[in-house]
Amino acid sequence: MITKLTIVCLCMTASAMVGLWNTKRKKSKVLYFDSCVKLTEKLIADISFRHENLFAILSEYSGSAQSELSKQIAKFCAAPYEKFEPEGKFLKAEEKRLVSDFFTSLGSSDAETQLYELENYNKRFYELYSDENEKFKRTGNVGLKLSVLLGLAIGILIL
Amino acid sequence: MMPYVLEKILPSCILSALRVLRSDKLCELRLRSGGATAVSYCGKYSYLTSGGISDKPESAIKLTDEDIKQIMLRACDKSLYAVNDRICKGYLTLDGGVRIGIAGETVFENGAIKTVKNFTALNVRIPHEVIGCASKVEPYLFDGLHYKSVLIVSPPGAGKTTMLRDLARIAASRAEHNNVLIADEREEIAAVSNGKPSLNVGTNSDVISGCTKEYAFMHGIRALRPDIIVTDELCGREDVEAVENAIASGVSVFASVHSDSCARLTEKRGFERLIKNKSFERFVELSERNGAGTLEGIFNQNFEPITRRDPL
Repeated sequence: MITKLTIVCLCMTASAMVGLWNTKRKKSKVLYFDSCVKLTEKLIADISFRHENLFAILSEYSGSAQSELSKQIAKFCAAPYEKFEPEGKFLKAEEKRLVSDFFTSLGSSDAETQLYELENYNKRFYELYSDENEKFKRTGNVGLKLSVLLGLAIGILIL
Repeated sequence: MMPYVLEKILPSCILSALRVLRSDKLCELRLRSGGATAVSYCGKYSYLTSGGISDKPESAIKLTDEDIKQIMLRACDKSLYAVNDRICKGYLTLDGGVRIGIAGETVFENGAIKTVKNFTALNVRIPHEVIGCASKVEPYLFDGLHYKSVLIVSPPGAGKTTMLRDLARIAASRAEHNNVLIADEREEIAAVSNGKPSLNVGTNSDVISGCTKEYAFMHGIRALRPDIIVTDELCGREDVEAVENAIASGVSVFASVHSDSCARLTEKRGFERLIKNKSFERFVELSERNGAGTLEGIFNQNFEPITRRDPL
């Protein structure tokens, strides 16, 4: 009996882990685009009022927020004059292109043009954030519950 | 040694060619999109080649539009928006007083330049600090108690700023304790970087940089009580009026202006009244006859010479 229960528990745990990983992945994407929105808002504010140096703004942001985006900012600051290729494994190709274009556009135009571009990126990132957040709300917790149930079903089937 | 800021901004092909040259003889670098790169080296213009310099433009290093854009982005730390007002004025000053003159397509809106795009040419000027170059001029300006106001007159590239900087250094280091205010609109005299002058402008000098002369003079006189104000490249009526007000307030002014000679100063707009009122008591004329900084003469307010020119 104990062996059977152990097998079921193991299947449920493994399945829950997969579910948890999937939920975390979806959550990361929500948090990532949320960070992008916050970064563009900070850039808009700091460029409008302080005309602050780009690297100073980015390092200030990275210091205050530990996120996937902070790692990408560090990567961008290490080679700011080369084409930026984001690493985020959870990003789709078109999302990567958007992030790449966003970083490449930074600091390459006068204040008015830069602010206009940033407003557009802010809108795009907010749309992505809203979509991902909606998706997460709809499927995030359900996915976790389903994976636990799936684990239970697999355990029973094995027995 | 080449200013480190050049190492940061220039492409490797230019840097490796410059390493062959003596940096103390290098004054200017002219970078043109699609054109031959030229340098002002040892007092004359030559073309920069991968092996050094040449008189033939065919062998010169040629830069692309993208190279020029990259230099600009590096020069402003990838923050073009932060330096747009300076770009609109046609220049960018970097650490150590290196100045980049900018040519490109200007964007006009409501009668004013909004920005400059598609940069086509850059003129990189490398400052040279020549400590003591004003020693032969300074005795003619100091009467034992006060400094007389002086206008340094020369064509571009003849060493006006270098002489002004050295005059500021001497005046600000005297035992009489002169408070020297440097109104450094283009940040070439003191080359302030992170709030500190990177070139020697003496012990008792204060620097207001990056603002108009009008602002620096007005606020400087009110707040910093200077004995002497040092400023570069007077241009236009506003600058002249700021100088007149300062001199009328009892402050000595060391200034410079682009002109072939003192005799042609009256042809410059806004200068007629300055000359007529004898605001400046001394005029120092420089040329490139024997290399930058050649002293052509020191004149009093009636343009009568009080020293002879440097011998040939």
